[in-house]
Amino acid sequence: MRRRNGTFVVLFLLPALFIYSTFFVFPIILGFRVTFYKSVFGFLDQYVGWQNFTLLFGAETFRNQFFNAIKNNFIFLGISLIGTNILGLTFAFLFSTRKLRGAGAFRNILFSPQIIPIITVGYISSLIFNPSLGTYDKIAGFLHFPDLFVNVLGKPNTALYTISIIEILRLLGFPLTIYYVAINDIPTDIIAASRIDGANDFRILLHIVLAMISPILITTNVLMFIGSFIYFDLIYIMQGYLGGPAFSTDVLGVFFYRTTFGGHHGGGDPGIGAVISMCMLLILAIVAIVGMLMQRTLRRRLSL
Amino acid sequence: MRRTRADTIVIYILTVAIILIVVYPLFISLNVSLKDNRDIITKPMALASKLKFDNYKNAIMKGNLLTSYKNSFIITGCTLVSVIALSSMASYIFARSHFSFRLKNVLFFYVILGMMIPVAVLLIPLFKMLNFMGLYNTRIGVIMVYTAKSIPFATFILTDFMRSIQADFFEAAEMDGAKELAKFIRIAVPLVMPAIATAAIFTFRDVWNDFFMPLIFLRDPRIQTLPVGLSRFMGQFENQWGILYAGLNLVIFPLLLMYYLLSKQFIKGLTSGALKA
Repeated sequence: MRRRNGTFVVLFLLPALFIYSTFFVFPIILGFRVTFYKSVFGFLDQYVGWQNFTLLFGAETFRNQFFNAIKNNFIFLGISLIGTNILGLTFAFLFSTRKLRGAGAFRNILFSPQIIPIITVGYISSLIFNPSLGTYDKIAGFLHFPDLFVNVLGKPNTALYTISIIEILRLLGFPLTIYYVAINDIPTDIIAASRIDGANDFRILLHIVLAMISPILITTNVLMFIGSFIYFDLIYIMQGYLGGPAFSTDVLGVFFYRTTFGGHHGGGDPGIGAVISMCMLLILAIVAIVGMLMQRTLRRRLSL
Repeated sequence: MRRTRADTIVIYILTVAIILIVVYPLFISLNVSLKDNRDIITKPMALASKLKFDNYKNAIMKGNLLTSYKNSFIITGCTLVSVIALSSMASYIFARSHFSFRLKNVLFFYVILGMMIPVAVLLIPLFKMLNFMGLYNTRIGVIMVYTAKSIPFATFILTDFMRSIQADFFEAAEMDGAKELAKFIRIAVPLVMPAIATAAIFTFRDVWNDFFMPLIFLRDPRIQTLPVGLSRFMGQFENQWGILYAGLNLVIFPLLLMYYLLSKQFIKGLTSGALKA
């Protein structure tokens, strides 16, 4: 009996484990090894010790670009996560507590940018923000916006913020949908009771809703963080592989691509690219672990 | 406590404003694709005067989008079939408590952990590996990587659903003399169809829309998928705005149509997946 079961277990488990281990886990391990090699794609590798690390953190061009990319990455992630959370929570709360009509249609429309390729969002946004053909600058000219708000993608001090706002609108449907369902699951008598006690909407949202859905809030944010951390498509399409203008929209994903595979004329360095990807893996691991710990304490506190 | 009407109106105004901002780009893309190049440059804001589909004809005839469509179908289809098959088999073992062996939970955690890691960090070693195996620049190589990357989420959600199947179902089948394979095919799989749909939808979305991996692993234009094909298309017709956005619409609107037909299932899948995580 037990033996027959044993064969069955192996037959059912092995295919998935084999593919997953070969094409996902093994590359992670191999990735650590690549960091110590100087290599050109398709040619022999040469062991160079810590040279790739010293180049990335020591050579001025690499170091400056690397820290610039990390800074931009966190500005971009910060703005887009804060923006989607505030808007998503507010709309989810208003629509679910008031039982407004049209919530389903609203949610469906806001969710739709999630299912088309990000690069298509990039192409259309480029058209809208195109200084001579686009709608945005026509409106800006018509309303006499100050110079700062004209040609926003072409200027280093506004490009990253513009990209972040586009990302907020692209991403918004995801947290909104989840928060909407989560808030609907809160027993209505809890909210009704606090209304009788005289709490206004803002206090209800802050003290009751936020506390009740906090585990979901954390899961959603960890998922969004992991999903957007290595951001590439939109910036590559709209601002090019240099994260222009003047590296102002250069984020880790774009920097990684450029360093590893080179520009349009080639000349990338996979060894340094591997070091960058290991750094990204490290940051992601920290975020995932912190998120998991936070969630565990919150779950425990809520169940008390 | 009483909801004022003004209150509701403000909410609706905000809602409509956001919807307009999200829908406007689609409208712009449609509008541009129906105009000829001179009109686009001289009168960029004007509506398309009459419906002319020349740009679409040119996009289909001169571009390479149909090939890209074919490749996307092949790659996404093969990935879907293998992910669903492999994950539901593994999930059956993970979910049923009578298969007990040492380290079962550790193994489950090992598979689930993959959800936390984006493929982008593995690109360089993957590149070397695929090259070594002769799978670089082939559809099968990309299918393998997509399958591996999609197994964690699919296994997670399928195991979760299979755990919630009542033991009675299986016991009844055992009375009738059903073997494990029969229980898996006739009971477990049909009962977790909603979870299979969820896993399929998410895998489809991630694989169909992925840009980074095919950009690097599928250099040959004859095997590249739709997003990369589209980016080449955009390079090929530079400054011919009408054709560019006709091509873009040929990529977007079939997806949007499919989404609106399936949106109920889609949203249900999304929320059941995320709320359980």
